[in-house]
Amino acid sequence: MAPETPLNAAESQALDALLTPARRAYRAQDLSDAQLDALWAPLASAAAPAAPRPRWVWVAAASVAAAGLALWVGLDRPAPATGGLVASQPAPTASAPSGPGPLAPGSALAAPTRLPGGAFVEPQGGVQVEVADARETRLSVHAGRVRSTVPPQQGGGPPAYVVLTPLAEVTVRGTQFTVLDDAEGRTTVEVERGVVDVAPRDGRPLRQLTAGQRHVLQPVTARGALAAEAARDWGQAAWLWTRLVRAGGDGLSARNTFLSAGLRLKAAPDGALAAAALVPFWAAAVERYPQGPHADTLLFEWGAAAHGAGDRATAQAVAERLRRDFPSSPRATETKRW
Amino acid sequence: MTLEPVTAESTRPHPEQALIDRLRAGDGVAYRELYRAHAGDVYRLGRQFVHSDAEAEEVVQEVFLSAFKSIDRFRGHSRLKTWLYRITVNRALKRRRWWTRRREVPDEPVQHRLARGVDPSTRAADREALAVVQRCLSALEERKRIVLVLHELEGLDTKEIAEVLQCPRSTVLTRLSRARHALLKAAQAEGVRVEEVS
Repeated sequence: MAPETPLNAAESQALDALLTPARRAYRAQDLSDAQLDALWAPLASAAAPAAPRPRWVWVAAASVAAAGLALWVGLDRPAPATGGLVASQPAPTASAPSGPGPLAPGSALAAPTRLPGGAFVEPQGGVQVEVADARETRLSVHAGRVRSTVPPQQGGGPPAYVVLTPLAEVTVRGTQFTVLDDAEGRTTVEVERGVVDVAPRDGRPLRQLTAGQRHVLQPVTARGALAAEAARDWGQAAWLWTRLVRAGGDGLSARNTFLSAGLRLKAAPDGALAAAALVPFWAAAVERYPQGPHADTLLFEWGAAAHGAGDRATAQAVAERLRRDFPSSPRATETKRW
Repeated sequence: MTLEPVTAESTRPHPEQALIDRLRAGDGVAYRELYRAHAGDVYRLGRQFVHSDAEAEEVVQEVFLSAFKSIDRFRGHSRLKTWLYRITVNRALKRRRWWTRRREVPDEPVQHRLARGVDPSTRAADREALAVVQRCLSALEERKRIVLVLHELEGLDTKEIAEVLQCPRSTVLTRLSRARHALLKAAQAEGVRVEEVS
């Protein structure tokens, strides 16, 4: 039969009989709201268009933001910039022009700076503040203090401004607050106005702080401090992982996304340090997904991280649990060398 | 290079023009709308070409990242969904080929694949039919699988498939005809019988 010859009636009927119910099942597949939200989380911060907007858009946005900001802080705060992220001194009026050219992600900020959404950032004590993502609304603070004044956001949408420390992710929609990452590895958040969410990166419960409140996050253990140290190096990848897991994403998916988001393991200066930092991550994942379809993989990753970190006791305990709970898993046989 | 003739169709305003304008203006709400409207479709389509659910989720993120960044280059010759499908097919196949070049990655079992995101009310018989179709599709060569998924499962017509694959419609028709023959052959190997029609 020539390939282009149409199927005959009987053949078409047979295929249709198979395809019609298959099509129904196929189209019934969808992502749940939780899955959609988990996938959206990193997109929300990274997907803003890189190309500059037409000038009138920026001027209009800046006017609206400036008006809101002025009302909110009683006209004693600098106005938002009219262009991309700029490094500049505080400007005295809402109509002040923007400063020098835009900063690329990864740039360090040493001087008071206004961000496109209207947030005004004051690094203190020579702290370096890095722009951690392409949308330029997420900052990471390393060993220092940063005071932020953020205007309320119009409408809903993703968080407009996030400050990352090795221990926590501080999310805010409109407030005045300070984040300190001190020499002992602690993270301190002080709120002067408004409300912020403090999400510890190691899976501890999220705390919401209101005006006048102060919260200090301590590294839980020596290993926690190592995790914080490594998370500092991994930056975005670690943030993405914890965000996805917290949003209810599938454990293996979170792991894969984590890996492909950077995996910095090879780039980490000390492989053992990186593995040690992964141990609490995988332990938390096992706790969260004890019966999931990838529970054996999560256990394996936990043990492998412990093994890589030289924590023989944990590695062997996890291996024993893996072999006991998932005797038929191919992962179980891979634990023998631990 | 050929110039496209100006037709009534090409001068008609794009049905999604308002959304496209908002996307081009950098409206964050519009990005979210586009994502909510099509993320499920992108996931479902991408999942047909990658090895696992996790990979399909990464495809979703890649597709929308790419779309957000290149919305200014969207020429409006097709629906947004068709444009997203083009990115999806390209991204998913690129991932599959990348993995295939480096190592053998077995596809996750069909039952597991179907377990995710399927409406519980979907009849078991329907799910079983889909499982058979997916097993048959996985036995076909890539270009046949693509046109069958787009036509038979996604319901795109041949003009839309030509837009997704960026090839002439006649090529799609030829591939589709051959692919249906191949699918029937694979289905018969799975036990599907062809009865005489009187």
